[in-house]
Amino acid sequence: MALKDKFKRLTATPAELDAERLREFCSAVPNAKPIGEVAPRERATVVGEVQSWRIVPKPDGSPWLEATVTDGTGTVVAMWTGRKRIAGIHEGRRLVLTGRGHPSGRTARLVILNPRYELL
Amino acid sequence: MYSAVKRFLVGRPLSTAELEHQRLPKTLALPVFSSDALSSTAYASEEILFVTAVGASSLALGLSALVPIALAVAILLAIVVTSYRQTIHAYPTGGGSYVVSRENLGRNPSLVAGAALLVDYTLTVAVSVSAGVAALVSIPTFRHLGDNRVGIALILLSIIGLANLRGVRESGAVFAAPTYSYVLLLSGLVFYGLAREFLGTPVPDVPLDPERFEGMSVFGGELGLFLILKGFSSGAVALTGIEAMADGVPVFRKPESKNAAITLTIMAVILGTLFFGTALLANRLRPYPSHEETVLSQMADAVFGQGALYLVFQLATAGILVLAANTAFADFPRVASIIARDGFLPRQLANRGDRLVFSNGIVILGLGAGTLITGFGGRTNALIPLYAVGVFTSFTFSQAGMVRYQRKWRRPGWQLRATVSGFGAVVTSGVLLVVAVTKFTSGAWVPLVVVPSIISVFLAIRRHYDRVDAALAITPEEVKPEPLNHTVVVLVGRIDRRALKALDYASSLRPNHIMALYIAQEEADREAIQAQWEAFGIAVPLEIKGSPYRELVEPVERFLEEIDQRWTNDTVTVVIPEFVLGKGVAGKWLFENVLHNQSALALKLALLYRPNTVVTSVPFHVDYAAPGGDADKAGTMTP
Repeated sequence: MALKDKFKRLTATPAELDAERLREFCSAVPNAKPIGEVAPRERATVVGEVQSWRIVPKPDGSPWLEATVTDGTGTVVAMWTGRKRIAGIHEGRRLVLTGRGHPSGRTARLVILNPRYELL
Repeated sequence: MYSAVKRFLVGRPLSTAELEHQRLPKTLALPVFSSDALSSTAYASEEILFVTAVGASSLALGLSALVPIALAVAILLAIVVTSYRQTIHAYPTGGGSYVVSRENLGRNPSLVAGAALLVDYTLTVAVSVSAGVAALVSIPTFRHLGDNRVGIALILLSIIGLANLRGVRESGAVFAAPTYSYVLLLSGLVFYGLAREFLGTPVPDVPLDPERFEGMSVFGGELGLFLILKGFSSGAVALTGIEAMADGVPVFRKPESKNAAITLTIMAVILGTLFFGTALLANRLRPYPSHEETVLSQMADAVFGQGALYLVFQLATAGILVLAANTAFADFPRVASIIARDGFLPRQLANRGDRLVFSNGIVILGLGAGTLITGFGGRTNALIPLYAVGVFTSFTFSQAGMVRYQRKWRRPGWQLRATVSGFGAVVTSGVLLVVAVTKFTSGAWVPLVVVPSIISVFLAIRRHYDRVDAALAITPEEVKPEPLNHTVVVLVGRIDRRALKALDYASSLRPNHIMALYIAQEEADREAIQAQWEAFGIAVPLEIKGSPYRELVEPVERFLEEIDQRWTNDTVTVVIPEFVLGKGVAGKWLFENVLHNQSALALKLALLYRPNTVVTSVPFHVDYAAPGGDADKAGTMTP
């Protein structure tokens, strides 16, 4: 390892080191596309880690569950309607998602509605 | 508690309307403003001797040079006072050298004058307090305290500082007595002594103690022009008080200018007479420069004898020297406030404190003078060479400014007035040159270094204020309507009254997006909060974020970054629920506050510099001492 790289490892923040590890892990999964390269409305399979997740309660009793997933190249939000909780989906969990990403919000952030998921 | 101590030491706050009553009548203004100048008679002769009677020279030569030097200083005094009377009339709102230079010469000269003044006022305090302590420890009973002069000086300094924090008027009343008694007693000493010398039985000479004499020889030796000029430079410090009077015009009762000019003249006459008289008497009594006992003390001992009169005289000397420091305390803050109002010093210095004095300036002056006293071991003659460079700089700029002023307005008789000011400017610039050259190696280089650095600080402060102003300025054309995307993030640690109150508050803001954020450290926590969220039926989405390194601040910051990426033009409000221990609790158990809100504090500090981020604390009052209210509702609860 070059000295420069070594120095970089020493000065990098834990978050940067985590992101690097995550990129390495995700690029090793076959058939998965880097999230940053997924085009809007394209059906794709991505792999990543749950950064955070949220339950959105609704008074009418139809809540949904959202998980923000990143692989270090980009972020997608997986949204499962009608679910309050899915066992195994929580922060720090790595998973494979398959579905169609729709842009949402003012900045292009992809939301995959009810994706197929596979816990890793 | 702090406010009670402050109230006791400083007094009750004064309203702005009471400012007018802080004005001084002439009888009080004289001691307040002239003590600086008058008190220099206490050490000037000695300081001249410390230059002219030591080294290759001898005591006899030094004493013979004393009278001509004193005469020269008296003439210089007359010239400057004549010139300054015009300044006082031209600038009834305070014609300090800084103001006069700013109005007539422009920015940079005024900054030089201002910086020089600030340095000299600080030195006035240091020199006067040191000389006052020297007068005290000259008293035989107190002579053993000579080793503690720094400590005594610092105690005196803090007393003066406190008196000034109380206000000008009151300190004037407190300090009038020593000034008048000093003037009276010194006049007595000089006139009685001289009368005996010339008319009656001569006073016996001061017995020379070779152990304590700082010089080399008593007779013979040689005294060059350079040393005579250097001695003159030491004597010229007597003029520092004039600037103080011109600066302080607005503190006089109406009509300010007339009263100030009269007071200035009275002061000059007293100062000139006593200064010259002291030198003349010293010439006859042959006192010698010593670190143990001041020249004035030796003379008083010789004339009055070791009695009550001697004791009172020494105390009055110490008193007026303390007052001299007080003059600087009255004026340093005022000059600093004017400079601060122009944006060259921090704005805090421009504000009057709750006692209507410029409290911050007083504190800074006290600290500066304390540093000087400590650094120079409380010895007057180590500080004197630093002194007077600043005041003669400001004299020169001020009078040069007055020449410009007279030429600009051309009021009747302006030619004469311009000539007087011009002549004064030439003389003081000459003196400045003499002071700077003759005392350069023994200390005058210090102000020559310090003054430019202060000026660069002035300019840096001004540049900062200008930049901030430019960054904040906006024209109507620049305003573009862009809707704010407001996201409120409520930090939740667990579900309790405090958290629910914060959530209610957040909802009431009606932001574009609202969410609760929970930083999960362990799996069990996560499941628990999720279950509780459901049980309470909270309508706000709960976002759960992991903290792989068991931190709080870092994941919150990362989450806020994610939000920033999600929406454009967004403003994030982070709502932090906080405990406030009620009075019944906090009063009894002060330390209990330490048990709470520590992570909230860390978070606030971390988010302080984050752009577009508002941190809001929602307080929840806990008071378990009193029943009802929030008292028995604190803690976790059930749905």
